[in-house]
Amino acid sequence: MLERAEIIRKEYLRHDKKFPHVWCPGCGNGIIMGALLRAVHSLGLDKDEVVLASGIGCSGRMPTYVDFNTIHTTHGRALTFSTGIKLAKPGLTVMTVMGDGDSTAIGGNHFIHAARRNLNLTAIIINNSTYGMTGGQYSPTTPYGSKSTTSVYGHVEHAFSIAELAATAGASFVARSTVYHATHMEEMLKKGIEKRGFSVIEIISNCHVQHGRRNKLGGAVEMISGFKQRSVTVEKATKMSDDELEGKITIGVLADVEKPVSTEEYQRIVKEAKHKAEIITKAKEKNGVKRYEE
Amino acid sequence: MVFTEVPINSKNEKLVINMVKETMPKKSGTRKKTAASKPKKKKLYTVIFFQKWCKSCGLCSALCPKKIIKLDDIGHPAINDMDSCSGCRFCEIHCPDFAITIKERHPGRRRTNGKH
Repeated sequence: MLERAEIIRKEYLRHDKKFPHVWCPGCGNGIIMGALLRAVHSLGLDKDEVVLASGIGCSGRMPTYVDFNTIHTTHGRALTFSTGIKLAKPGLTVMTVMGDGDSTAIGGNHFIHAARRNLNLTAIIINNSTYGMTGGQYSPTTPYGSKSTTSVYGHVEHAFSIAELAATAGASFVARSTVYHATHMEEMLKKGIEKRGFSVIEIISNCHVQHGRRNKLGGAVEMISGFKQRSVTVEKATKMSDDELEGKITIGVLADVEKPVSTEEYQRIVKEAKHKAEIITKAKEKNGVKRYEE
Repeated sequence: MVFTEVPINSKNEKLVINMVKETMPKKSGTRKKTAASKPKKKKLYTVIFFQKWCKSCGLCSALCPKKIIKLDDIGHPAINDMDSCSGCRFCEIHCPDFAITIKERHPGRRRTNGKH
């Protein structure tokens, strides 16, 4: 009998692409890819009915390796492409994987409007608090005071909180997890895929090559085990004060609401319009209104 | 045997049953005791490292709760004491390069029946 890891390696990866993948040794993107594949495998979804879209960046390499229907799109516009796919074929399970700069800086407008529209999509946002691929410039999620290529003396701006932004913008399901909590992350991804409506899963990842090295946070091992010490669950965080929560990561489900999904609402409108048009044509024929051609 | 001359009614039925139970010899719970005393058979696992895909990041060695994964001089993982593996699969799910597989191991029964 094949083990789960073997099934995932044999069936869900594209072996004709160059493996091992391009990500740095110890990068969290690989762990996230594994968790995503395990989530899809345990949900029993058909490989041909899953779409994975991505933008530009380190995370944008993910669709290259997985054997779903994949699309590698322009910078920040991954959500717009997946909106189009979902509207054209509502039966597909559409997932979008983006980085923090990709989703909140370049595609910030697309992100909040996708949350407002509440399409049945899943957005996976990998937050490594820097632009890793282009050389470590500061991103909207770089913490205050940390160093980067473009903020050598410390960053002067404050960071976005992606999960809270998504919840305020109207997403139906918002969750946060870290790379250390791989099983928790898998569960959150499962819930997000199953949820009807726009679901956002923010995953805190490590970039020890660009972010960790400049801020003396250590290597991959130190950064990933640091997430274990820094993270608190949502239940615990409600009892803690703001000073205690400084620098902590709240993990768990942050928002879970039921809302009408816009793709289904659109289908309903199409049906109603067709029904009305039929009534009007029938009434015209009864009254003897001649057609324009005659 | 001593018969108690108490008429059995619905009222004192329980009381009589209890009296009879006390006089009866108690069963020794042999079945339960053996189940508890018998040592549980330890499950054995094999950890397979796919060295072609390994990038020597060292996450498996650092996150292993039993600390049995050792790194060699180029950073590739290796295990000497495979029987200590508890099969938690923490290294498997945290490997970014899909290079670790954990399998349950069933060592074959000895044909010699104890004699070497």
